[in-house]
Amino acid sequence: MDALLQHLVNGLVLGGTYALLGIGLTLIFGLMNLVNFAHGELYTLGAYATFAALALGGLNFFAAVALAIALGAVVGAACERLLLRPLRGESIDTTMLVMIGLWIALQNGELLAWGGVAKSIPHPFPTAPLTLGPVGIAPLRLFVMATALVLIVAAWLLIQRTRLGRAMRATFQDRETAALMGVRIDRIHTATFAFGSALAAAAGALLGPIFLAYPSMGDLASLKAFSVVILGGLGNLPGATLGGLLLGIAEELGAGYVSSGYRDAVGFVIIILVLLFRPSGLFTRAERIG
Amino acid sequence: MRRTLGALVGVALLALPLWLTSAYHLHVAIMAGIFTILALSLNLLLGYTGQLSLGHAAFFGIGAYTSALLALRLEWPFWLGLPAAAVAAGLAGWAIGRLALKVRGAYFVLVTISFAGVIALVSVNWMELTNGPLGLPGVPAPSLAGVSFRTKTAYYYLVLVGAAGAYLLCRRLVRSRVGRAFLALRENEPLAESVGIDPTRTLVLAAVVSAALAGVAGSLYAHYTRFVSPEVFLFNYTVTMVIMVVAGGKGTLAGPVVGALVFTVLPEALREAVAWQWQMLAYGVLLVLLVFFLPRGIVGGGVAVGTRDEGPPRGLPAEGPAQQRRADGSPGPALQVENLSADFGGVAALADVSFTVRPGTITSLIGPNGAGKTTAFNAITGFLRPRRGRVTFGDASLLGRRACDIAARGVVRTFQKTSVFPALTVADNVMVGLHLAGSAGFAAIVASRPRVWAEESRLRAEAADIVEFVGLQHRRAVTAGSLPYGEQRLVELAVALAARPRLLLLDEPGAGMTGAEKERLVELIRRLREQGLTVLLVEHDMRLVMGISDTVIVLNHGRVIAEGPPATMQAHPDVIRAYLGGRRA
Amino acid sequence: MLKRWSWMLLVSLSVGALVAPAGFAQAPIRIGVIEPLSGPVAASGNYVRMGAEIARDWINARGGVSGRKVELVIEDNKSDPKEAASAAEKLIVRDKVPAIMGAWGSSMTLAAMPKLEEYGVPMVVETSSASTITKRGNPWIFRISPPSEMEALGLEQYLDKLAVKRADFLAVNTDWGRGAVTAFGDMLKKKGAAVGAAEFMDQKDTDMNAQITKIKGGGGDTLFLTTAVEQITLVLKQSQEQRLTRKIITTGGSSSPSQLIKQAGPAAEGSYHIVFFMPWFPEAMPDGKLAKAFVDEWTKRGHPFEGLTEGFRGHDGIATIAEAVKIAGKDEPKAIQAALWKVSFTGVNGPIKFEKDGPAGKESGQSKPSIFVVQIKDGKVALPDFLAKK
Repeated sequence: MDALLQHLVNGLVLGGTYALLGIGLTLIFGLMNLVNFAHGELYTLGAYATFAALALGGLNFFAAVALAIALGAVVGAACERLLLRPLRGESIDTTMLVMIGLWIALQNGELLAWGGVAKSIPHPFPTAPLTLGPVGIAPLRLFVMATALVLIVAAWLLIQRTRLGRAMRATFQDRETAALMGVRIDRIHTATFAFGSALAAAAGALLGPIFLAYPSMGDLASLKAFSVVILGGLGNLPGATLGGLLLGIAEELGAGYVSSGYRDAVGFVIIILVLLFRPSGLFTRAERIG
Repeated sequence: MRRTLGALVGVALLALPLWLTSAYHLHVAIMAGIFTILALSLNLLLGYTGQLSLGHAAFFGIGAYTSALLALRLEWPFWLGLPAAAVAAGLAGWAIGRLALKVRGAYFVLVTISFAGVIALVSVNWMELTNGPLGLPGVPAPSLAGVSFRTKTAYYYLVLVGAAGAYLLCRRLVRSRVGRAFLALRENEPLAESVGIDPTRTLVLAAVVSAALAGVAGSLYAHYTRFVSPEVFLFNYTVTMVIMVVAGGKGTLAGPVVGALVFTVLPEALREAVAWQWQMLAYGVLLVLLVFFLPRGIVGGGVAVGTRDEGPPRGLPAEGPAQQRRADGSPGPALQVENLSADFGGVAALADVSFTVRPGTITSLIGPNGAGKTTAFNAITGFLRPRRGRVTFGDASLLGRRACDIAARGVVRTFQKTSVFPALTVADNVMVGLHLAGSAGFAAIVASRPRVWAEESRLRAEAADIVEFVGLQHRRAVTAGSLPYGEQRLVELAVALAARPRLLLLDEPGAGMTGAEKERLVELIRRLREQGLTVLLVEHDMRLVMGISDTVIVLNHGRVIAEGPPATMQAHPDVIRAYLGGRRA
Repeated sequence: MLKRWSWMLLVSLSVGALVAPAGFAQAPIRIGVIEPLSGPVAASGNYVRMGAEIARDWINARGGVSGRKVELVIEDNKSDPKEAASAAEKLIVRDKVPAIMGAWGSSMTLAAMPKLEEYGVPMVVETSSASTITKRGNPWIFRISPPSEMEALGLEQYLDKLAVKRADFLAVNTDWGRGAVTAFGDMLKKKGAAVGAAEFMDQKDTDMNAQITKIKGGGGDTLFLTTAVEQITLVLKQSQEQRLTRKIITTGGSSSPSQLIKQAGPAAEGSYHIVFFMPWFPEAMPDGKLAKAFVDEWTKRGHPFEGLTEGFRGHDGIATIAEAVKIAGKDEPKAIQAALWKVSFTGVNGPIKFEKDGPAGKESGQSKPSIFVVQIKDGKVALPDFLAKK
C-alpha cells in the first residue's frame, strides 16, 4: 500500500510537469495547425537560459526562471515572425519540415555552445525530502508542481478572460470571420506561438534543476507533449492538464507494476487505446480552444 | 522528350559502378537506393493518400528484423526472406490502416508515432526473439546459385532492381483507378465517398502497400549492413524519410527519388566538407533554407495525376451519358423515407419526416434555412446516422449503410458547399466519379495487364462524354480548384453523373450561379429526367424550383408541412407562413 | 525556372563535395577515430576524442612514429550504428586510414565490424563492453576496454569486504546495461550472494522513481547501477528523495565520480564506483608518472576534470595503434594487425597486451585492463577503507 501511494505521488508530480509541456503545445497545435517539432527545443532553451542566468549572470533562482520564460516568449515570437509567417499558406507538411530543420539546428547549436556534458542547475531549496506519512517528496518538486499549477491557471485566465484570449479563441474557431471582425490574425499567430513557447521554456526552467540540462533533453519532452495534447484534445487546456496527470500516473504505475523496460510503452498503448475509442481525445466532444 | 530523358537516366544508373570507382561512393549509392524505396513508400501514404504517418520506421524495422531473423534462425535464403519481410511489414501496415479509419489528421500522426514506439520497445525488451539491444550481427549476404552478393557492385545492382521495381509499382498504381482513389481521399474525402470510393479499403490498401515496400527496403538494408539493432526504429529514420519526401516533393513520383538522393548524399557530403562540430548544425540550417526557398519541395508544385490527355473525345454524344448505361432506359425504383428523425445535441433537426420520391420525376425539397433539408440528404445518403426511421430505395434499405455503399446502389448526392477535387483536372475529377465503373484491382494494375489499360481508355472516353454533356469540354485539362465558382458546380454535377446514379440528390446546385448558368442547369436536369434519372433537389431559387419540379416537399423545423405539385405549394398557407413569418395583419 | 536551377545547384554541390579528391598526404600516419560526437552521449564521445588528441600531440612532440607525424581523422557516428558503418567506410576508402579507434557504443562497434573484415583494416575498441565483440571471430578487432565479465571478475575479490549479500540491479536498457546485469549477476551467484530484481531504464528516461520504489520494497542491501553519468546523477538524487539507504555500486567505468559529486552532492555520498582510471590519485596507477602527466595535460588544456575517467581511453587507444605502427615499421593495415599482437606497453590505465579471444583461427585481441574501485566519502573521491592501506 505504501508503495502504491508513493507511486501515485510520483505520478502526480511527473504528470504535473507533462501537463505544463502539453498546454503550450496544445495552443500552438490547435490554433496554428502546426506540428511543432521544435517545441522541445524551447524547453531545452528554458533550462539553459536558467543555467546561464544563474551561473553567468549571478541572478537569484526565481529571477532566473522568470528571465528564462521571457526569453522563451521572445524566441518564440522571433521564430514565428521569421520562419512561419512567410510560410503561412503552405501545407502542414511544409511547416512541419521547417520545424524539423529548426529542431536539428537548435539542438546542435546548443551542443556546440554548451558542450555535451549535462549541466547541473543550482536551486535554493533543501534537498532533504518532506515526509507525509509513508510518502516522500522533495521540496523542489513541490515548488515545481505549485508553479506549474499557477502557470496553468494563469494560462486559463488569459484565454478565457482577456481580449487577447478571446481573439485567440475566435481565430481558432473561424479564422475568416475573426479577421473580418478586425482581429489581427498575424498578431494572434505570433502571440500564440510566443505564449506556447514561453510555457515550454517555463517547463524547462522548472524541470532543469530536477533533471539536469543537456542538449537532447527536449526530444523526450516533445514526444510527451504531443501525447498529452492528443489525449486532452487539440486546443483543450483543461484536457491537456488532465491528460498530463493521467499520463504521468499511468507511466508510473506501469513502470512500478508491469515492467520498467516497457514503461514508455504504457504511454503509447494508452494513447492508441484512447484514440481507438475516443478519437477526439479523452476530454472533448468537439475541438475547441480554452 | 521525357522518354529519352528517362532512358538516359536509366543508362547512367546502370553504368554507375563503372564511373563511381570508389567503394565508398558505391556505398552511398546503395544507401540512396534503399532510401529511395523508403521514400517512395512513405510518399504513397503521405503524398498520395494525404495521411501523415510518422511511424514509418516501424515498417522498415519490421522488414529488417524479419529478414534477418529468418536468415539467422531458420537459415532461409534472402530470396524468401525478402517477400517474408514485405508480408510481415504489410501486416503491420494493415493494422495501421484499420486504425486510420477511426482517427485522422493530428490524431493519426500520434497513433503512428505510438505504434512505432511500441514496436521499438518490443524489439529492445523481447530479448529471446530479437536479442534486444545487442542486435543481430552476422546477417548473411544474399547468394544466387553459389554467387554471393557480398561485393558492393553486385549489391548495388540488387538495390537498383529493387528501387526500379518500387518506382515502377508506384507509377503504375498512381496512374490507375486505385491511384485516383488515393488522391480523391486526400483531396476531398466526403466527395470521394459519395461516388462510391470506400475509404476503409482504399486507406488499408495504401497502408499495406506502403508498409510492404518499406519492409522490402528493410530487408535490403539488413542484408547489406549485415547487422540489425533496435536503432532501426529510431525516430530519426522516420524524420529522414519525411524530409526526403516533403523536401523532395510529395505527391509526385520524382520527388521522393530526388529527395532520397539529395538527403543521402548531403550528410555524407557534409562529412567531407565541414568539420564534425558543425555538420549537424549545417544540416539543420540547410533544411530550413531549403524549405524556405522551395516550399513545395525540389520537384515541387504538383500533383502528378494519372491520366494523360488523349486528345479530343471519340464520337459525339447525342444524348447524355445516362444513355450508355441502361439498355432498357427505364427509371430506377422509388425512394421511400419514413419517420426519419435526427438530433444535434438537444435540437431536433428532423422530426418524423416521411415522403416518397417517385421514379423518373424531379422532386424538390424546400424550406427556410435550418429546416433540415441538408440533414435529410445526409441521413439518406449515409453521411449522418439518424436516430430512427426507415429509408428504402426500391427493396433495399439504406439506413445504417455506409455512404460509399449507398452510392454503389445508385444513390448519389452533391454537396451544399462546392465540392470538387481541387488539385485534379476536370477530366480527372470525372474519372474519379467513374471509380465504380471500373474494376481494375491492385494486382492487375501492378502487373499492367492489357485489360487494365483497355478499361482506362474506355473510362476516359466516357469521362470526356460527361464533360461535354455539362458543357466543360474547353476546361477538360484545367485544375478544378482554379475554375470560377459556377463552373466548379458543373464539375460537381459531372462527377455525380459519372457515378451512374439512378437517384441523384442535388444540394443547392444553382446557388451562386448567374441567370444564364441557371438556365443551362435547368436544361441539363430536364435532359437527365428524360433519360429516366430520378432527381431530388434542394434549392432556394423559387422560380427554378417551381419551373422544373414535378413534386415539391416543404420542410420547416424538421417537419414536412406540405407536399404536392408546385402550383399548390405556392398558394399553401402553411408554406407562406413558414417563409414569411407567422403574423399577418 | 529558378527552382529548377536551385535544386540542380544543390545536387551538384553535394555530388561535387563527394567526388572532390580527399586531399591525400603521404607523410603523416593517419589514424581514424569514430566516436559519438553528437546526440545523447556526445559528452563521452568528446572526452575520448580529447584524450586521443593528447596522445597524438605527445607522440608528435616526441618526433612522431618513426619520424612521421600522427594525424587523427575524426568522424561522428551520431550514436547511430548506420552512421558508424558509413563513417568506417569513409575512413577506410576515402581517407585510406590503416587503423581505426572506435566506436564507443557496442552496437556502433558491431555495425562497423563487417567493414573491417571487408577491407582488412584493424580497429582498437576503446570503450565497448559487449562480450560478443571479441567472440564473433573477427580477427581485426583489438579491445583494450574490459567486457562486462572481466569487470565483474575484477570486483569479485572485494565482494566480501563490501558485504554484498543480496543485490538488485538498475541498468540502462542497452547492450551495455543488460550485459552488466548478466555478468555481475552470474558472478554474484557463483560467490553465493543472492540476486534480487533487475530493473531497467530507457536511455532517455529522466524519472526513475518507479523503479526505485520497486527496488526499495525488495529488501536487498546493495544496488548495482549501470548507466551514463547523467542518469546516475538522477538515480542518486531520486534515491535520496525516496530514502533508499542501501549501498550503491556503479559499473562500467563511465560514472565520473567527480561529476557526481558536483551534480548529485550529498546524494552521492557513500557510493562505490568501478573505474578504470583514478585521476584523483594518479600515482596509484600502474604507471604513476604517465597518469599524472596525463591529468596535468588535460587540466592544462582546460578540459573538464570529470571527463578524465573516459578521456584516458582515447589516449590509450591511439597510443596502442602508434605502438603497433612502430613495431610494424609501416602504416599498412595488415602489418599493423600483425604488430598489434606483439604490442606490450603500459598506457594510462595500465599494461596493454592482447590475448586471443573468440573462435579458433579467427581470434580477436582482448587486453586485460586494470580495474579499480573508489568511493565517494565526505564529498571527495577516495579509496574504499579496505583498500586504503595500499
